[in-house]
Amino acid sequence: MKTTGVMIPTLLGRISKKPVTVLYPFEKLEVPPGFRGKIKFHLDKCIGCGMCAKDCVSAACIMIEKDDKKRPIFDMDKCTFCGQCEESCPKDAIEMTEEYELAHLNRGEVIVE
Amino acid sequence: MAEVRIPIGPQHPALKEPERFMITVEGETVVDADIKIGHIHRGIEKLAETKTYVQNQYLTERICGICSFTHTTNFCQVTEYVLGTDPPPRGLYLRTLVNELERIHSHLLWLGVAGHEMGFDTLFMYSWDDREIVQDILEHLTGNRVNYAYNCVGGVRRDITDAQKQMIIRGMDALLERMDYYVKVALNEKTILKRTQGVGILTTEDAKRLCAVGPRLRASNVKVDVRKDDPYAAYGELPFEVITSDTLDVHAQVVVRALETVESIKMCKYMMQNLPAGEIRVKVPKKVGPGEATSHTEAPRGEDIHHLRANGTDKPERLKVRAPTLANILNVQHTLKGANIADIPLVVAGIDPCMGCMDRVLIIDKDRETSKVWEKEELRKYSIEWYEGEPHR
Amino acid sequence: MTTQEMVQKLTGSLGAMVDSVESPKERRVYINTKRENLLGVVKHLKEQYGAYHISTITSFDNGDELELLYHVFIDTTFMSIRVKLPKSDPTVNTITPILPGAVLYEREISELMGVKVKGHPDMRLLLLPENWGNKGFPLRKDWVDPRRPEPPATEGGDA
Ligand code: SF4
Ligand code: SF4
Repeated sequence: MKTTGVMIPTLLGRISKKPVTVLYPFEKLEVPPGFRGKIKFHLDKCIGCGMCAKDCVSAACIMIEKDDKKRPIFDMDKCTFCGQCEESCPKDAIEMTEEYELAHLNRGEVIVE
Repeated sequence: MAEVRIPIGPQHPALKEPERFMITVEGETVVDADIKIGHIHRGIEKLAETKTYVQNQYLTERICGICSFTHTTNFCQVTEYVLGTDPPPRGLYLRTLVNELERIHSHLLWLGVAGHEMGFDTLFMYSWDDREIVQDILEHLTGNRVNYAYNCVGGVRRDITDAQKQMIIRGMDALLERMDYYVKVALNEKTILKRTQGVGILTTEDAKRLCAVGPRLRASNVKVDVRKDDPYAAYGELPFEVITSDTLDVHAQVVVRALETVESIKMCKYMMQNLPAGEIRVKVPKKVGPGEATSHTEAPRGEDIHHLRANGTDKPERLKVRAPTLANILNVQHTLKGANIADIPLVVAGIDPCMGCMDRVLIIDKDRETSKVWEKEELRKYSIEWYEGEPHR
Repeated sequence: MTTQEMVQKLTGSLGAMVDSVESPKERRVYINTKRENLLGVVKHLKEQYGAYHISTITSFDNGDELELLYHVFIDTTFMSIRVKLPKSDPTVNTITPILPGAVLYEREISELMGVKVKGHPDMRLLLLPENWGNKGFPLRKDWVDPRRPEPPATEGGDA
């Protein structure tokens, strides 16, 4: 049967419901556990093996030498949040947090050391 | 009547991706169409030769934002074929699950975009709302909404919990109800019927001759689906129907995609109820080959191909990728001939282009020496008004 | 028909046109042939086996020679026809009269790999910009990006 207005019941049904979108940044959606957000690095666990930098696809994770110790730094500008470095690290020194707000005025602020 | 050439693009009316069409019109009718692509050619095939297999898992994911999982499935499969590894059954089921969830979200997205192109924004809003159900499931399951980083050579990276299983079953039940409703809308709503019936007809012979793929091919009544013909991952064990339609037009594509989504939802439920226990991945060596293999999968948009030649190192010798939209360009070029200007957005949107075309239409009238640049919005408005003004069908 | 039966049938019916037919895996068949016989093989596949769908053409740079794989999907079997061309004379006949769907893929291999496709109806650039000129064929192994001759050395696999 050809007719117009097949969607009107849906439209009317929506009147009593909450909006689908939220008013970000005043309201925030919760991210699920296991979300891959900003990286957290535990320097004390790191042994400087370089596995994380070797497997990083976007060169966001690179090895530097600081205080006579080899260690990685993470540039969140370049990071694709794939989580491969977390998986490659034999010592669990890398952790992906649930933080997703990464806008900053200064590029240096998004480098995780 | 004099012929007028209209360059459309390199920005696109259906999606925000560049591609250029040179359309020759006679009055309202398109008599010829020519296509130039490559505006967003990123050289991924060349780049893949410089990356290791581990890194390429994430590089191939970025070939496409919507059907990213199909590309990683393909890449992981070619590598597994060369290595001779068989991922464990649970890993294959989870891989198939995400593939199908991706198809559901891609088809719902397309339904919204097609609705938008025909001036039916209500459909666009609500189908995108329902798409959120799938997006939430994907986020819970994989850790991200778009590029899931879920696939790896040898299986998948994360296991599924019982709570997630229940979430998927609940979500699929809710979606099944919504899809029944959308199928009803697609078959009955006059707005859709008037804009899509008889538009963009591609006959079975032409579809075969021009090597169309995916829903466009099945909407031309050819029963070809890689999932059935060359089963990969867990598809060999799943019950599902290959949907075809014999009306050959854009409406056939709406129906094929809507019914395909229903099939996918049922498959997801089946997989959740019959998920094998055990490991989800096997360890694989970092060096691959030498050897070569081809893998093809059914992406939401059609057949997607990866061919890998490995040389025994940790980087591929050559990785060839053919995404489904390239195969469908030819038939768009063909179906545009004879269409109305007002139908161009819909015919192009019909194949669900994943790297696209037009945002600006330049209309040059040689006789009157005038030219006018049309923004995409104007073209869309024009097409809607054109249909409102005259009841052509 | 199983893949092995298919291989035997193909070997028999293609006869001297091919060097060998092999199948490394279920539903995958490789047909090795010479470029003089390419058209004959494709025509045979179309007439005898109902091939209509060419999936794509893969090209390789093997140093002295270029290698092409024409992927044809027939029912449930994925066939790849392998042809080798010397780099000094990389010409091959177009297969578009038999499989018109190959038109874009032949343009692709000609501009990215430098294969000369003889008899192709439309040889304009498809993927590369119109002002590409003679900056070379990007997929060849010895190609260097003229805009950036020395890629900056970075750690972590970025090149
Ligand atoms: S998450 Fe991925 S892209 Fe980001 S630093 Fe780790 S490996 Fe590199
Ligand atoms: S892989 Fe882990 S232990 Fe090794 S350098 Fe990176 S952070 Fe340190």
